[in-house]
Order: sequence, then structure tokens, then C-alpha cells
Amino acid sequence: MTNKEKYKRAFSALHASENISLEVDKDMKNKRVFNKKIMAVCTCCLAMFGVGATVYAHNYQIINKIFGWGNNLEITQEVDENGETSSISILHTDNLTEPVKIDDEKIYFVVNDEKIDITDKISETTAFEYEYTDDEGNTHIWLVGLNSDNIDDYGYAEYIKNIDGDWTGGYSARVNIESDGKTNAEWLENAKSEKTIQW
Amino acid sequence: MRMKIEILMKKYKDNLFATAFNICKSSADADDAVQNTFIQYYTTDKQFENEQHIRAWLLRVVINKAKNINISFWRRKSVPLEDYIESLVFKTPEEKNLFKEVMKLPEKYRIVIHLFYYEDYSVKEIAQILNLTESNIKVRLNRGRKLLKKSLREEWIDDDE
Repeated sequence: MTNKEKYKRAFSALHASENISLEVDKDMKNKRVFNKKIMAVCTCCLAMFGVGATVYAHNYQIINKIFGWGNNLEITQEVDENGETSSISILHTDNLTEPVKIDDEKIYFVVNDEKIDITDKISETTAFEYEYTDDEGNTHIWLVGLNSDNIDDYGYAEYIKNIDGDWTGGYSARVNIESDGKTNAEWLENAKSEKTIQW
Repeated sequence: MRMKIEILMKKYKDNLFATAFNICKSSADADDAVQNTFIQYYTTDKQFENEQHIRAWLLRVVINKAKNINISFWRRKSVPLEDYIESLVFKTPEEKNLFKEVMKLPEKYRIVIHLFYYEDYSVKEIAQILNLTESNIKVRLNRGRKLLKKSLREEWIDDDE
């Protein structure tokens, strides 16, 4: 038997859920329609904090919007009828430019017209950190690190703290998130732990 | 040309799921990626040359959806990979072993291996789907193969064609 035949047999054990459908369940209408619109219009990824997905079944009020990297990261802070707050982070991936560049075996962090050589500043355990405060007083923390000893195998993240000093959201890229919610990137987990970022 | 979504779902749902699972390692997240891929097909006005063009487009979209899920904070709660593998029905222990070892590969090798061995795409076609160079795909394919050979030994044949 060839490798292809063996591989196909092994992976034929996988089957999609029978629940995959374009039909909108009436009870889930609010949530699903929201998700569909976001996914169809923005081609983005959706991240939620705090209250979670059920927030869309309740009345809520938008209390703040914060934009991150090149306006691709959109964080919406909301409060629901019970006074509970939550944040939704949406990363619009259309026209997304990475803030990290590899050039001539060196790795650079490129943001706000700066190109910083970070080759000797990052490792699998240590992140390069870049911080700036936007016009509205939000602090943006950038983290860049290596997932292996290969310079091409980098990852990065952006987290935003509002003017009151509360972490409001962010995202990480080029790292795998394990089933426990933590990433497999030691540099990132170390930095998040140090900064008490809970996600 | 366009094809009816019901036909595409029936024909490609499991293939897209296998590809998404290969990236997400979570059945719940893979289901989300597949559903959102079909929604994107349903809502786009894009015209396609033929069915193979649609198939490649669906795979490219589901890969992007699955990668986006991987980089997002929010992921659906799902059973651990080991437990999920135990729930799958394999015909032989060798099939189960092969599945486990593939899932241990780094993601960048895993997806190339999957498109080559499961979807029967050539190096050139994989390069187009993943938007990478052919030489990059060859490197990833060979490194993935070597890792599988190392872990599976005689269960994996040398096939570096």
C-alpha cells in the first residue's frame, strides 16, 4: 500500500458535524446572523472576552471602540443590561500588513515609520517589547518572539490597555493556541505572565 | 460558473473538515471553519472556471478560516486531541498511529503533507493554494516526510519523488 493510500485511510476517519448547515436556527438567530455578517463582510477572525458569545442574545450598549495595528484590529467594549462589560476583538485580515520583516537574515520590527533590528533581542523565551500610547491615551504593547531557533518562525502579538489601565483586548499571530487557551509560545506566555495579561 | 451549495456541501464537507482539523486540531473549531467557508461561498458573487477551481478556492478559504481561528483568542471549548482521537474509528492500529504522528508535525509541514497525500495536489498546486513558492513547499514536504519516516519507520515508505 502506498503512503497516499495509508494516509487517506487514516484521515477518512474524520467527518464534519452533521449540524453544519446554512439554515439559521431560530433560537440562535441573533448570534448566528451576527457571526455570518462578520465573517462574510470582513473576512476576519473573532475573539471574545468576558461574558462570551451569549452577549448577543441580550441588549447591549457599545461604550468604547479602540483600534490597533493599522486599524486592522478593532476592539469594541460593551455593557449589557446586567451591567456586565465585555470586549470583542476583530482582526480584519484584508490588506493586513505584518509588523515584522525578515531582511538579509535579520529580523526587524516595523511600526510608526521605525524599523528596529530585533535580531539579538528575541529568543524562544524572551520577547521584544514595543510600547506606544495613542492619541486617546490607550497603551499598545507589541510583543515579538521566536517559536523555534529558525528566524522565519517568529510570532507577534498586540495587547491594548485603556486609559484606566485595564487590558481591553488584542491578538496574537503565528502562534498556536492549545486547548487550555494558552499558546505554545514560551516567549509570549512569559511576557503575558509578567504583564498580568489574562488571555 | 457556479455550483449549488447543497451539492458542494455534500461533496466536499468532509474534505474541508479534514483540512481544517489538520490546522485547528479541534473538531468544534474545524466545524466552524467549514461552516464559515460555505457561508463565504454562498455570499460571494465570484465566478469560477470549473469545479476544480471551486475546490481549490474552498480549500484556500477553509485554510485561512482555520488559521484565523488559531490566532484568535476565542476558541470553542473542545475535547483534548488525544480524547478526540480515541473517539475516532480506525480500521487498523497502523492507521491510528499514522494519524497521531501526522498531528504531531509542526503545522507548516502538516498542511503541506495533507494537501499532497489526502487531496492529491501537486507541489505547484499546493504552492498556489498556500501562496508560497514551489521550493518552499518542496522543503516543507520533504521535512514532513522525514519526520514521519523517523516516527513511523517501516510503516512509512520512502517516496521522495
